[in-house]
Amino acid sequence: MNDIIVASKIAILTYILGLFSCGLVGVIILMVRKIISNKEEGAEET
Amino acid sequence: MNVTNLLDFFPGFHSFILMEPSNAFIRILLIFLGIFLVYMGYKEKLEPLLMLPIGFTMAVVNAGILIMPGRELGTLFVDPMVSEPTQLLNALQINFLQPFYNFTFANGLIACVVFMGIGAITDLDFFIARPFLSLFLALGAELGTILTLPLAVAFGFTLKEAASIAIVGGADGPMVLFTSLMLAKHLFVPIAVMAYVYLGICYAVYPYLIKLMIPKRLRAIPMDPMEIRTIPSKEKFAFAIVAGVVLSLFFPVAAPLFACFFFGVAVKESNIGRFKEVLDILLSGSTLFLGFTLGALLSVTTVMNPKIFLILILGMVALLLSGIGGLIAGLIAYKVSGGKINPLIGIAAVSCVPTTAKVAQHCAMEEDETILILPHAMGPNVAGVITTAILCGIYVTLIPLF
Repeated sequence: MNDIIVASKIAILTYILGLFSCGLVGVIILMVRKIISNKEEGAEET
Repeated sequence: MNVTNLLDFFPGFHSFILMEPSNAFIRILLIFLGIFLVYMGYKEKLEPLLMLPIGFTMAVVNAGILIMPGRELGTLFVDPMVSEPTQLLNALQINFLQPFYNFTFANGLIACVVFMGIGAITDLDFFIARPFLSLFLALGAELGTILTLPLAVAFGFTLKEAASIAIVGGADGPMVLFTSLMLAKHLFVPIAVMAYVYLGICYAVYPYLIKLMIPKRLRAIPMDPMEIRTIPSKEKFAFAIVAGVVLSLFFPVAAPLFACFFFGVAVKESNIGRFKEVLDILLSGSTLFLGFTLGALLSVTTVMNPKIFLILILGMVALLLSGIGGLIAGLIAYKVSGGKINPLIGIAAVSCVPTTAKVAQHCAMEEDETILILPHAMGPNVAGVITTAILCGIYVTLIPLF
């Protein structure tokens, strides 16, 4: 029973870390998008 | 000349007599199962890229069992159980697939090469266009990867074994190979073979799950492919480089997987023709040899693991749970979007690229022939690959700590 509880805790922790990592991937996408669009706007202005 | 001497001329038949009757029965079953898989692959009822090599070698390796020196039964294909150096040296000189197994399978090289090839054919447009929707669906479709861990422990597996089985829920072959090699090498053969056979079966089973969970009218919701904005190549290229570095920083144990996948994406987006050609050939070649070697591992002499029946059940449960999780996430997305999102794209978040996206498209077309949801389904499909790689990285990092 103890093993199952430990495994459940690991599963929950994995999901939370997964959520965090996926959020990070999403943020990277938005940051890259922002930087590239800013650069393009800057190039158009010049 | 007596009957025994006569049988010595035909060791394939003689080996049947020397086997336990139950093993002989399973051997015959495996031969016919192999032929059946070849047939299903040929007819495209199951994934032909996997079923043809796996099924064929599975049938042939079980037909070709012979009596080895010391009256032991074996084959001239591969012996995955060899570990002692002298035995390994002999096996490398005798079994024709042994060098391939030891130098590409046992160290995870084949998993990484396949993953690099997948990266090189992955179109990130649909994922980058709607990253949070795609990642939400992909996290839903990891339900099997998460729930199967405690379930497998409840069935008596250790944490490491349970994690190796649970990752089957991610439905990504290279990740299953990688996790089982890192955490439970002794169960690598049954888990890897089961995972690849099941990934082929996804093609046939998921449509029934969809029909069971998604009402007909929801399956026919149209989604305009023109809604997806075109992503400039440099944006995808920059994302691949940054994501590869950042994820490797967070999960160094899974860095080979991240490195290979995102390098494949970077090659695709950098438009270096020569690299693309190399990766294309690498993917085709490694998939072919992967299937061929996996089939050869399905010999009755290696497959008779007492835990195999439980692994078979838990693998199927993991894939079914992931399918259910993906469809539930699809239904939530449908509700939140006010009915604009077809919930079928949830099944595509089970990351078997591009099989599950094709399943979603196929099921939608059954309701309305003009409907095109494939571009929308590719977003969660790619997100599923990334999510599974992340969860694989977390399991491989986290489990040894407990």
